[in-house]
Amino acid sequence: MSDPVTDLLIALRDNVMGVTESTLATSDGLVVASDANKTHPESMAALAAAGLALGNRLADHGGAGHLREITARGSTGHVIVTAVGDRALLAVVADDGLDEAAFRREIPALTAELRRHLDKDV
Amino acid sequence: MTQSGTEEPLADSRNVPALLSALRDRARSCTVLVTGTPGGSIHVRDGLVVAMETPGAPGIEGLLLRSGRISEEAWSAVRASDTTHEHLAAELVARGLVGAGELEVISLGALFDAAFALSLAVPDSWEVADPVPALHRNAGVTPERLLDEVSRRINLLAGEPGSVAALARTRVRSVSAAGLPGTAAGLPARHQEVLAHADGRGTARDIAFALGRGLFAVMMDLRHLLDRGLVQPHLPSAENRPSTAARGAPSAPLAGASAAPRSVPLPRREPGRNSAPELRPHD
Repeated sequence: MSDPVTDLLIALRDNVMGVTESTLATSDGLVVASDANKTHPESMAALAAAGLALGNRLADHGGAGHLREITARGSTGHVIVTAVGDRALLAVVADDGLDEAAFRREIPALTAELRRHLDKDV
Repeated sequence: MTQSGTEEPLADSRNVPALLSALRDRARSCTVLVTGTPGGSIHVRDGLVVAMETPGAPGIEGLLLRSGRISEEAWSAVRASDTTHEHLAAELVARGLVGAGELEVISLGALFDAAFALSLAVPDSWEVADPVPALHRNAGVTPERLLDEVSRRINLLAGEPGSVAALARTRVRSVSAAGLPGTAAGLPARHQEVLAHADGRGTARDIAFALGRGLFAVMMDLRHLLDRGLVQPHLPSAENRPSTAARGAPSAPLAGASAAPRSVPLPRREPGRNSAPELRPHD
């Protein structure tokens, strides 16, 4: 009964040191899949959707081009929200030791793969 | 500032320890950037290793902040006072936030721990770059001493079955009995903390970052808990997800939606199959 999308989220935690939790949500803030234990996926989905919408406006207002991601950087960890197409988003929680190089390598392929799965939903 | 442009290229760099030895012989000051899983940067001053940063083990900043040893405000003030980030350690001590000796212990501990974490992975590649500021407070360690300490740690952990790198990759979960009263009662507080964070999602490295402790120390504790049967390797399970198809009223009724549910006969009790009561004579 293993779902391929949840497997992708678990693989992200396996492949990138420092990733602790992740939630895939629709762009209107509903949970699609999550690999979470300490965070509440429904809240994370809603906050990430609101944050990404604000980020789009911020990037637009600042003339920063197309928004790639928004990052909340804390003293002991980060939350990074990336758009997955125009239908969904991915919120990743990481600790302060996040392997940023590995994260930058993995995220484009992961979002493309997630999009392929979500595009099958018609 | 650096003489890297004027010196001859480093001939002997089959591996990172050989490169560090070559840098030691030339008393170079530089940063060795290692790529891999995990990668990291090795800060070398006058041929001696003074600090290492890697995603594989908590650094000095993480250890100080996570443990609550210094507050976020105090750390921000220290960083604001030194825009070059060259004298952060001196500033921490000058402000009385951390004792000089204590910071040296933390600095050396983080250095050995990072070297241990880097030794668990085979690096993809490495390059020597100009020195950059790194938070540290120690006189520097020779590559030989660094290697000795790393092998000592690996030997301490490898006494039991299973390789050290495999243990570092294992996601551990506390067994259900570990929550029962009395089972974990005799454990020291640091073992109980590790046990509380062993939720089947994190490796030793993740627990070390969550607790603000060293990777090697957490792995020693995990080895102890594994031997006592209080934690076990975890295999993940997953559930199905809902659809992300555009929501809205369907334009036509779904085929089959109106069909009556398939009729299934009600379960019957058959005589003799269960312990049904005997037939009474007057029925």
